[in-house]
Amino acid sequence: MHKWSGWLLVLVIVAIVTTGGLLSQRYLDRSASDLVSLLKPVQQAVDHQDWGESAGSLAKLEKSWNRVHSNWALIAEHQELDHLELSLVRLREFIESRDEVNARVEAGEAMNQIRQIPERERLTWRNIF
Amino acid sequence: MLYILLVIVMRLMGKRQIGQLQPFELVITIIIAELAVLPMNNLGIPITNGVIGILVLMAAEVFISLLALKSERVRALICGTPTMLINNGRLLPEAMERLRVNLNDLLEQLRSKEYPNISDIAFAVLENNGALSVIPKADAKPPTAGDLGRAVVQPLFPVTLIMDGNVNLNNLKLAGIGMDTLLAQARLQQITDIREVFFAQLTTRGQIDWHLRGEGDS
Repeated sequence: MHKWSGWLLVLVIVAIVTTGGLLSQRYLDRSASDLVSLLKPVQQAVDHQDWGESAGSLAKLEKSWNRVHSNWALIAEHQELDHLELSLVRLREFIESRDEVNARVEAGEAMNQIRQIPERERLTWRNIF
Repeated sequence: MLYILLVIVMRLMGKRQIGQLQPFELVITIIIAELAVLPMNNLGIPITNGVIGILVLMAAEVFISLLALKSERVRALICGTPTMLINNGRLLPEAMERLRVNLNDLLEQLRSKEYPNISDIAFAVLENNGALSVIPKADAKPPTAGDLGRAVVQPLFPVTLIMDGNVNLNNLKLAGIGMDTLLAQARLQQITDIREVFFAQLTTRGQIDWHLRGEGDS
């Protein structure tokens, strides 16, 4: 083995882990922010009891969610993703049945979960200890 | 995938066995094993969590061992220093107390190394990896060829020449033997086809030791 290969190995691993960590956190933040901006119109439409608009906005959100789901599964805990998925399914059911109170609660729950997932993956003292 | 990664990581971390690991290497090896189990045991945990943890620990292990290699101070801090437990046939109770080695453990290790009498031991040293090294007094150790003043031939490096009927050309070159010489030696042993040879080795005495297929079967 070459004299410097050990140091090089350490350097490469540190570089890969640091870059990978930063990029994955950036991706999580950006995609979570996109999902939040798609969920807000759903909440507003539910508040105004505009069920057609809320169903249409939710369809857009679900489309976006289906795109990011498999990528998030590489980074985040699958249980958290399952909770979010379930929350979106319940939200659709409440919108279809025009249940304003439950749809509001579920939209709030989904919003909270979308914001929580990137926070849980962030390198912070709170997450370490 | 995790298994392959673990094999690669353990290979990169070095060739030492469990009993020869330094304390920090043992700790890292145990944690790496635990990290590999987590994504296998709980499918809800992404495999990347295990992979990143394993890679970071491997980098830490390589980094610490490189530091220990370069600096004696770091080596002493991380690996510790060997401690003498017996000096010139006398036990050193203070050192034993400091290392929490009791007399029974010490005597057990000495007996297993075939030193029943402490007075026969010049030095006994507890090494960093927990092994006990014993240096006997001159009058208690078996005589060597040098002690007896006898001339001896230094052994050669043993080289495997044929394995499972296949000639290892690299080893043949290493041993400085040509293919013609090998075939000539085989013919002397009444071997006409090299594929009949199960194993052939150039011994430390410089002779070729031949083992044919089926010759040991009864």
